Amino acid sequence: MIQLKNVTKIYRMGSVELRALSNINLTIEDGELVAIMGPSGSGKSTMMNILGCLDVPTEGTYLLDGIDVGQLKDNRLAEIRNHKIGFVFQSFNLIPRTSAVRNVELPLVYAGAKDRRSKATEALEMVGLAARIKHLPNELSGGQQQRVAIARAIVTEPTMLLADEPTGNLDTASTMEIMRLLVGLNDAGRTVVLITHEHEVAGFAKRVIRLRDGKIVSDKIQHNRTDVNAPIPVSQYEAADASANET
Amino acid sequence: MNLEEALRIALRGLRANRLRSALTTLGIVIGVSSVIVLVALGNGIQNGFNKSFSALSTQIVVSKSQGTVPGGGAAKDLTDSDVAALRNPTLAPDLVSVTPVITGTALLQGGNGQFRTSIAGSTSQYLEVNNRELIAGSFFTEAQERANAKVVVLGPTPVANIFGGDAQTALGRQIRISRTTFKIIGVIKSNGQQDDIAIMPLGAARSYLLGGTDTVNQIILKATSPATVPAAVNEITNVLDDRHNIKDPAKRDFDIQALSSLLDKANQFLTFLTLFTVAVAGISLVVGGIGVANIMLVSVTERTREIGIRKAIGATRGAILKQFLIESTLLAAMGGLVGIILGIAVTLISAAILPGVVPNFPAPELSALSVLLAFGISLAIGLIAGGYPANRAARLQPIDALRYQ
Ligand SMILES: Nc1ncnc2c1ncn2[C@@H]1O[C@H](COP(=O)(O)OP(=O)(O)OP(=O)(O)O)[C@@H](O)[C@H]1O
Ligand SMILES: [Mg+2]
Repeated sequence: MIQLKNVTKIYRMGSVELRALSNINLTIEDGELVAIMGPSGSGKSTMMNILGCLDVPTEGTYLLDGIDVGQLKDNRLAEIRNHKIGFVFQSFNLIPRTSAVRNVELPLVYAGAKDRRSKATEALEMVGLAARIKHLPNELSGGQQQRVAIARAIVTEPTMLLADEPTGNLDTASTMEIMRLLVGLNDAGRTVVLITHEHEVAGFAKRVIRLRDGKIVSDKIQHNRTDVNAPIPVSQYEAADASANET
Repeated sequence: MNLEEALRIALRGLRANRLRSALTTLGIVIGVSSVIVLVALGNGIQNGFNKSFSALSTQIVVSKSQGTVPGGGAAKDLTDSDVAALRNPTLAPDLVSVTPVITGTALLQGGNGQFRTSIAGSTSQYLEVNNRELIAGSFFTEAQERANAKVVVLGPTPVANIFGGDAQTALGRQIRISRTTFKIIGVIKSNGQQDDIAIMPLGAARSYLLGGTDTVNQIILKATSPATVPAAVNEITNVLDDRHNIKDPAKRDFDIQALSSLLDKANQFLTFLTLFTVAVAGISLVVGGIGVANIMLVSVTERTREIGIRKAIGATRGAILKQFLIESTLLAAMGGLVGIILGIAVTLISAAILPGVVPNFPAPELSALSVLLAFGISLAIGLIAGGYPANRAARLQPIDALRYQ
């Protein structure tokens, strides 16, 4: 369970102070599928980085499963990032010149886990890349790279998946593949929080939070969410792609 | 994360930039090998010096003062009785040998013509106390010395002049010196200084060539050890002062010269010279180290984003540090190893080739200490050069590392 209490993030650049987040209070229960929306610069990524323990708030507390993350030592934080959180970036952030399977294996290396290679291969199979495990990042398409990144995020079986515009760099077909994966992972019981600018993507979420100027301006349960397995939207996307290619 | 994984990650990092890794190690290679080679050369020169001059460290030479004696009067000659007095062990217990020498010049005639050459008349110990060696034949014996035998040992210069340089042809041949015929029984090895010389028993030189009855030009003495040289010098002074009736030390009519203090000085300078060359080599090692530091700094900075990714997926600060430390240590160790191999190879090759090219060049001598030290220093350079930037990057918040441009 995620709890933000009065979280504020201030960036100081010389004499200028920028409140990227101001007094955010937010609770996300286990198993939720939350989409965070909002205009550019509204603080979405800032919040996500704090949730992922990649950054620390200037003020306020972040409780992860009841633990005050701000009080933890560096090594404990690394452990949390390794075990509890899977982070997916808009720009994939695979390690260059390193094969897909090796990239996926790395969190297990840092965890000191056993059977790393087979677990990594399994994760890649789950995202449909069994045939590409030896490929280097620059030999993969954007959608495939993002699927490798998701495999890497889930290989340690974290309870929480955080994705910052995971489909931001992808076409509609790849977007659907990624969303099917994320929704599937949520169906399997994982908490999924994702940032998106696209309403189609947000449509899959159970809950949509909107930010503006570092504040939550709306927080709604989505009752009529899109069914990721429904054939119609998928074919719509593909049809749109196909017609785009023809013209 | 275990060591094997850390090694794999580090090796991958090095392989990703083969050329850069190779160029980086080059600095270390050159530094380490030049330390090894220069120390070996310095050692060789110093040991060679000590070997060739250690025999001289106990040597004391007494000669008549040149010109007028301070305070007036002509200097008294050194005589056979002076020699006899010095040979008396109760008067001079710290001496092992006393070798009188008379010198002059004479005309040598043989195969290719006439040549004026220095003559030395002495005892059978002459060769040993002057630290010289034969290349052919033998030196005259005590029996020949007592019999004033007409035998001569030639230096390389007269052998070259008269026999075209072939010691074997000269050996056993007769040679006319002034008006007397001598038999050549030996040839001495060149020492580059006193090569134009003919040596014979003292009595023979006196009777047939140089004349005189009991004067000697020089007395070469040996102390029992380098440590007793000062005592021996004292004893010699006392004996000769007494025999020459000298009351005032300022009016001595003989000079005593001991080489040991000179040798000590020379040795000290050689040590300084070795230290100096090592310092120069050390500078190249430091420059090589700075090269490694520089590349590691660039390499780590360039991979700040990678460090961010690794931290985001759960790498601890220690794991990051370990990766880069192993990387830079491997780099330095490889450079160090190649440098050691190269340094030893160059030393051995020069030991084989140099003495043939440069006569009398002392063979370089490898020093295990310099090898260990150079390797240790290159390892330390690797640790510091990699550790500093890696530690800096590992301390960043993951997001700051990820955002790094
Ligand atoms: N490292 C930083 N230093 C200074 N200001 C920053 C930094 N990171 C973000 N900001 C500022 O904080 C605000 C929020 O940034 P954030 O990246 O969270 O926006 P966002 O909602 O993710 O936008 P986008 O949709 O464009 O990704 C912006 O005004 C941004 O300029
Ligand atoms: Mg953003």
